[in-house]
Amino acid sequence: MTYLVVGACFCLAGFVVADLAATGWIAALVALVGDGARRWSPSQRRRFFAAARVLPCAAAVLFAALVVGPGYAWLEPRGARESVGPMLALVALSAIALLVRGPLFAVGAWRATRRLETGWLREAERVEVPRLGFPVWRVREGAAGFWLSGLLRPRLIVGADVLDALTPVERAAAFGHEQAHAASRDNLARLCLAACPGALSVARLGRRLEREWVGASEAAADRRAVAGDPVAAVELASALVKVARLAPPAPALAASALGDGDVDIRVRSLLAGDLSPRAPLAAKTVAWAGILAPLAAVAALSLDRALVGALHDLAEHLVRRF
Amino acid sequence: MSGDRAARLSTLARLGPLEARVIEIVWKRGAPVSVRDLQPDLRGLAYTTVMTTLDRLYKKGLLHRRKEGRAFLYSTRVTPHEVQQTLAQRLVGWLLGATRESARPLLSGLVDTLGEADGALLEELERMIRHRREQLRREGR
Repeated sequence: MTYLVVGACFCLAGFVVADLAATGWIAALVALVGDGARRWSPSQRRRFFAAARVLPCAAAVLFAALVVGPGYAWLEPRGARESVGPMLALVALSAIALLVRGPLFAVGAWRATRRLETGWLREAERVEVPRLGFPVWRVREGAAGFWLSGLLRPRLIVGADVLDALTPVERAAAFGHEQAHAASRDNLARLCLAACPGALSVARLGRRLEREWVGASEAAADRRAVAGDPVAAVELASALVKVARLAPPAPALAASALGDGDVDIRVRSLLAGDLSPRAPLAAKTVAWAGILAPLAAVAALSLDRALVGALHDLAEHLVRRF
Repeated sequence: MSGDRAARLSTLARLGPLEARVIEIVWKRGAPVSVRDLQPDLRGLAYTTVMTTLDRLYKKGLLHRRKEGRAFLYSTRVTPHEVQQTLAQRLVGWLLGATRESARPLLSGLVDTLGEADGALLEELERMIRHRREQLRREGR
């Protein structure tokens, strides 16, 4: 039993160390890419920031499972009289906290969504919108804004004042935008990013990556809804401004706001027809090489038994030392 | 938790490597120890270094001491169990905080910046939209 407990603590400590190292790597990579990412297409940005958010956790899990765990199993004799010292216990507890906090955060977000939705739908009536592919609810009372809800079965919830203020073409453009969100399952992706454990779930960089991802998703949905049509782009821009003007201040929702400049950037981008920039190949290659490097390093490390052994010895030395 | 114990646990979290090592050995022994008792576990360290470290831990309130003959015998005032219990309590508090502070609904909004939109900015954007509409009309679209 002690053997397994110590092994589990070693794996958890390995997770923390690798997660912190990969988080540092991502911080450096994001700084290197910098504002250059703004010139990428929304889909490219969306993929990059999602991968950057998930990578440290993925690399850390792989490190614990492919390097630390096997190293312990190969090199630690079963009958060894090891115990969990305070330092190892502390690091293992930190790992558990980092592993659990993300999923708990996601559960909290899901419950907050259900609460809001239940309140809205109490005063709502269903509106038929042909060929949309999901139900639309018009909220008669209270200020609701314009929201796509649901992780697997999307539904659109719109405040009556907002819906009435939009012209039929603006409404069609706005519905097209939400259809694009539904098609790319953005709410589910948002949940997965929020649930992703590790240091990024508590670090400011993690929130920044999530905000960048949200911004890129909005731009990608704009681009898909407009499909290169300048008239549709103007109607969508007009719908954005009307919704921004009418939608109520809601602190619970504003927490996920993109930043003050978002409507501005999106409307200007729609009007300029600047919807399909492409990242230069070199920049894209560097960014993706940076994303994949830690995973490749962990995979290569796991195949080298001598290195796995050396790492195990180092870990054991540190555990004894502290 | 008493304020005194909380202060001791807080001090424990800020120990240097040698202090942490010494207190861990005292814990492992489970019985009061003298400087000489600790020396086999701290090879390479001078008697006076171990003595100073124990004295520092005593002054920080983490060790008890009583005189026996010419030497002091040291024992811990905070048990590993207390440390683990406190850490676990803080951890649970922090984790529960995650569910409370995460009132960020999983919704995709047409415009996420509710309430933040600046009136003058919106007017400027509306002017730009009108201008672009006229431009497209002139082009026959």
